[in-house]
Amino acid sequence: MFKKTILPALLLFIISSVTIYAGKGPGDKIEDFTLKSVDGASYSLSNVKDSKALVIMFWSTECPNVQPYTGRLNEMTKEYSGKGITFWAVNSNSTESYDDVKAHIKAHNYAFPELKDDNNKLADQLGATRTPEVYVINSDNVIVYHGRIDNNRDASKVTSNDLKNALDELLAGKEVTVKTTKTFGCTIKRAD
Amino acid sequence: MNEIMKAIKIFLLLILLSAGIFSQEVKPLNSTKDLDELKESLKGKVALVNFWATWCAPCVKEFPDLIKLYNNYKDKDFKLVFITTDVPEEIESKVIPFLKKNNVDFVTYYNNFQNVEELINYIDKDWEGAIPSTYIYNKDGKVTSSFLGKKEYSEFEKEILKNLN
Repeated sequence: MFKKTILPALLLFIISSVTIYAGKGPGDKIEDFTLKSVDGASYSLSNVKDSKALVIMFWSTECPNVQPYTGRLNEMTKEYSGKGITFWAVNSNSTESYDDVKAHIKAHNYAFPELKDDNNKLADQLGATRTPEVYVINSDNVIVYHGRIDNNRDASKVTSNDLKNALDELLAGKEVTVKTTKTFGCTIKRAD
Repeated sequence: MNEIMKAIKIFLLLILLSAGIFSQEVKPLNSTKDLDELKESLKGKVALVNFWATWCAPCVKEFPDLIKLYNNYKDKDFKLVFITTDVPEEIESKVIPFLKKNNVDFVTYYNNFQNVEELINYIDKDWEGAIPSTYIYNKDGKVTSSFLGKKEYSEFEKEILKNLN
């Protein structure tokens, strides 16, 4: 009885739990998703054409660890978009509204869209927990880098440009050497 | 003469009082060796280890509840350990005033690792570094529960009581 009915059910439960909560990392393919911009436009992974990679940056209008990166990411976007890299900031915080995001974009004159991830669906798919936290997705929709932008929120003290390194390697047709990195940041405030 | 003696006594009393009230001790965590030592010192106690920062609004909101836990259980086998992720340059200017304001009268640790990933992975390989983050250790030094994001007093207390009893 146990082997025939309860055990398979238990295994299925465990497997489905892992699928939901384990998140994704380098080497994993990600499923298509659609996010909305503050002006109502839809941004889907499947619509990203002619890009060598998509950089998803989990973002926040409030997190003090995101704010020092606003200028740096604007510069990076300008530099790398000409090389075929697309940048999207994703705001999954249930505590930050479309209006907050709109004001944030205006204040920083972003060169990239800041999109709302309603009900943190994309954050759940990827298992993202932090802002800022970035994922680089190649043209096959496979994650090639997951982690921090660099190793210091004070731009003058950066000694490891992790995201740039990953993008440069990808653009050179090489395998990304350092595929995962970590740092401290704010928690993504998921919807209850 | 009496007036002078009185003034000296008041002056000395003030120094003693300020030393007692404002004795926030902060210690750096430089390497995994420091973490080994900290972990060893907690054995035999139920420990709540909280990662926070003065720049983190949910951490600041959660802080008084953790102090309340400390006050309610400090006479039991319970230890509260704060590890701040504020940068070392801001310990004097931001962390110590915050600790004073919250009447923290025990040692607080701060991240001083050259490579912060060593600290994060030592604590939890599945943790990406988002704060607040809290770990509860039993008396054998094993993690019995972890919390990501701001939590309520009752959630922490429940886990502590489970381990104390």
